[in-house]
Amino acid sequence: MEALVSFFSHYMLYILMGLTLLTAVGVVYSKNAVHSVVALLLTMILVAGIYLMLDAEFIAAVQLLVYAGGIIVLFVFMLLLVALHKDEAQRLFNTYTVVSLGLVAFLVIVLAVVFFGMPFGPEPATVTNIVKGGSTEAVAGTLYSTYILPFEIASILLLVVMVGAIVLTKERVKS
Amino acid sequence: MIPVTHMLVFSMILFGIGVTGVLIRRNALIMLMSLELMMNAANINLIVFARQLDSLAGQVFAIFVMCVAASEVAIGLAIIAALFKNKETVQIDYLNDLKG
Repeated sequence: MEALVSFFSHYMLYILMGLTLLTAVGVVYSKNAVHSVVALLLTMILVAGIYLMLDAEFIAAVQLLVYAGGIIVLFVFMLLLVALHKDEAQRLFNTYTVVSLGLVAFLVIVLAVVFFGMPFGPEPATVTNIVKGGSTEAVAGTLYSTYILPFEIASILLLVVMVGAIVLTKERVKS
Repeated sequence: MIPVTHMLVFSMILFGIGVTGVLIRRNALIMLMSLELMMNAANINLIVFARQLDSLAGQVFAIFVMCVAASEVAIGLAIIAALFKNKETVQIDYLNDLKG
């Protein structure tokens, strides 16, 4: 039991990362769009787990609320509205799939080599700032003091998006 | 805790999967989902560096990124709804009216 706990506490992040990559591939390669949405939901939940492991409890909770609670529901509604069954007989991928895959693999490999060459320094043994009084209190203190202006701009952005989404989807009335 | 480099490579691969989805899929909904994957990869980087540098700016900006991602999905899905109303399809290669 002890060995199992220590194994999981050491490798939990790697396990979460592997599962996240699997479900992310599921999003891209699913034949059925509903399966893609379910895979996206699983990806978001697993990413929230990664945030938890990195001392960001508040971000993990926001991730679950915004993505799993909001965005996934939007996608499901959209799947209900558009008739995807008409497109089922058609081919799934673009014509340049192999070229795209090669280019992306090249990009990932080059950047991985660059990352491994960078001197990031050792891990901080203890973090103090981001866990002071719990991640929520620390984030709130910074968000409402130092970053109050971007916060207000974000609220204006959300208002504009709300109006824009309504205008884009409502029926045009001839006047 | 694991090295920063491993997390960076992981988020790079996640971003690459998102780019692949945008490049190879023909369904506009799946392309939007792949965009979400790329946003999440960027967010993971922000959180990793917030921990590495012991600074809260990374976590705060992750919240802003989520805000922008949610806005982008709302507008993107509204555009797809409007497109579907006009063209009866969400396959992007039928949306070629601007082609000469």
